[in-house]
Amino acid sequence: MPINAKNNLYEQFFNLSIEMLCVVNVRGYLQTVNPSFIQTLGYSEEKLLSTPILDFIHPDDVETTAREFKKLYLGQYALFFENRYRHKKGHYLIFSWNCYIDIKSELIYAIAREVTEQTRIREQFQNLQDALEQETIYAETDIRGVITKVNDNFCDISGYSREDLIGSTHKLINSGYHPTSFFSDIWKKISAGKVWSGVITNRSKAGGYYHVQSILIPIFNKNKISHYIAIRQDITDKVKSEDDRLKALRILSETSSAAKVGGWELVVSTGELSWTDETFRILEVDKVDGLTPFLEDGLQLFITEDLPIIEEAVNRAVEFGEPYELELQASTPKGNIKWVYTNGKANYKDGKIVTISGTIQDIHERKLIETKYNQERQKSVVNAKFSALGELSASIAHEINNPLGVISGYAELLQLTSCKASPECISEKSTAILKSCDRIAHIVQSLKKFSRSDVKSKYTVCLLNDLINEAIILTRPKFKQHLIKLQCNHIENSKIQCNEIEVEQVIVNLLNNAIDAVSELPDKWVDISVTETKQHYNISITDAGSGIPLDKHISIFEPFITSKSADEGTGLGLSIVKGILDSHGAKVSIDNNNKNTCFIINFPKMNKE
Amino acid sequence: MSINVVYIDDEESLCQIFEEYLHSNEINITIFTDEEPAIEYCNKTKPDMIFIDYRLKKQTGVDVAKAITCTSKKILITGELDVAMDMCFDDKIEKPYRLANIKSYIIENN
Repeated sequence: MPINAKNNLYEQFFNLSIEMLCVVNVRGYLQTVNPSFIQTLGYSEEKLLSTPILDFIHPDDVETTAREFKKLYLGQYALFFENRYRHKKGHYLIFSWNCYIDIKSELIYAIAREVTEQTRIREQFQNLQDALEQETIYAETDIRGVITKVNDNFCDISGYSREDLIGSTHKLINSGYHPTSFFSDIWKKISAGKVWSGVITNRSKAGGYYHVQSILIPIFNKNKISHYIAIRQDITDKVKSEDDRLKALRILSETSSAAKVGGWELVVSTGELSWTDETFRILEVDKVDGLTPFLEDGLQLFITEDLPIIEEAVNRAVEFGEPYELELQASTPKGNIKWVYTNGKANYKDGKIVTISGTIQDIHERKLIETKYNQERQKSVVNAKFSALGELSASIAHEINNPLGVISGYAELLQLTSCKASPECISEKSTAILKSCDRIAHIVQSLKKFSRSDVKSKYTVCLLNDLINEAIILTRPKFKQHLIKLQCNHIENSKIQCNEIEVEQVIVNLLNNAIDAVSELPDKWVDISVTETKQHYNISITDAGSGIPLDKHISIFEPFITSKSADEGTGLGLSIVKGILDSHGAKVSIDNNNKNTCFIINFPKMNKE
Repeated sequence: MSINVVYIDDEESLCQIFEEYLHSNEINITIFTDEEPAIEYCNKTKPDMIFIDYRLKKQTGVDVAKAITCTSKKILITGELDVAMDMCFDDKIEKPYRLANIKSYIIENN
């Protein structure tokens, strides 16, 4: 090959190469650049050759570049390094250099390759790798599964040191929780080159379980798996809280079964019902897999009298979203009639009622007890009334006999003086007689009301003052009999809504108790006063007694608890008092702050309409 | 000589009727509605007969009868159904009573 042809060949190489080729002289100027160089950086050849090479270099890389060059002049033959060059448009490109020096001519022959993109990818990869190693539980194993690398997180969670782990297999942290097949399946998958992910339960050196969400990745080198990378995340807390959640759900289910509470849901569009197991149990319906009850079936489970009630309630819930609560009797397919409580409320989606859901509860036993209690209470109300009446009758007799004495006395006087009496005298005496008659009539009136035995709860609006006065009329004889001072403070116009016979009885009962409590004391007094708060009238009945021991404050309202001897009272009094007040939404309590015995009744005021 | 009779009752009209009906030449009636002056009067004048209501303002008829130490005839008047007779009384009359009967009682028992 002729020389020219040969030179020509090199020149061709130089000009056509996509590698960037240049020659740099000792002054730090580019002496020759190939077209690829010019193309990549965007400057003209003139610009490139007339500017010191360091001017194109990223300021941060100037120092290292100068140092690298220096190495060449100091005798190093070749250099490989990277630096950043400024493109004409201002951004930087990363060049990977390959430089050789010709000592004789002091010229540097350099080949550069633009590696901006690769570097970016490499950096990204590195960041990723760093993050994984930093943030996850990271391990590498060889193809046999022997651990070759672990990070601190791995050591921390497992409790083993690096020395313990490296050279061992993962058998070291096997918890025994998983069957052997679990691991052989994993191994089969990753050794086939596939990524495996899932939760593994491991055991730490200290013996505790820990749960890790794991990704196991086979890494290929030249089409062969060279090693494995394991990235794991500690989810022990999550697993535990999930465990707790499931446990709570289980407990809830057991509780609802114990409380005999079932749940149900109605899909409005289809009329389909979903019932919980407990609902099936309560309604004694056999659960058949794949068969869903419909609203119609559900409604038919109530007794005929209650059917329109539940139908109406469900319809209103579906139509207007009105919630409901009902106590009804169900007639089960097994032929039992049982009391159930059921409620329901509408559930909306996008402003439309889509489902009605609620609970159902077996309240049969409670209802039976309630009915029995009401009967008992009715009975004991009557009993207590009679016993109170018995106690009162003696002193009431006195109260009647006195005016009766006046009547008969004046009548006798009139008889005696009939012929010679003046009209004024007759008028005066007959007025006195009539007054005494009124007195008796009033007492008998109170008595009649008091002893009325139809105890149907009829609530009327009445004045608290009237009730207290009636009660005082009934008890006054007894107060007098025992010479007890009675003081009374009213509030005007204290309206309440109540069954007046019952509430009057409450007051009579408490007054009677007070009388019994103080009748043997040297200083005998009873005080009844009414105060008011925003929502209540507080009626306090205080007597000269020295209070009730704290530990008796509750039991005293239980039936048959009494401080009186057997012939003095039944002990039903206060339990009835409480029962009556309960049904009026009122409360009775003992005032702890009073050194005397003080019962306080908080009676709700009437709603102003 | 007239019979001295004392009537003690907290019911004023009963006292007045008692006096109006029974006061005469034969029977001298003194009435009291309060316990203390009655006791004082009786202990001082030693009447022949004392009618005492059971239920008085501050004390019971029994207390009053015991406080009256003279040997006068003491009769308990009561409107109660079940007041036991105390030993300090000579007799018991239940309310309502007839004044005519009281009159004959006074005359007979003097």
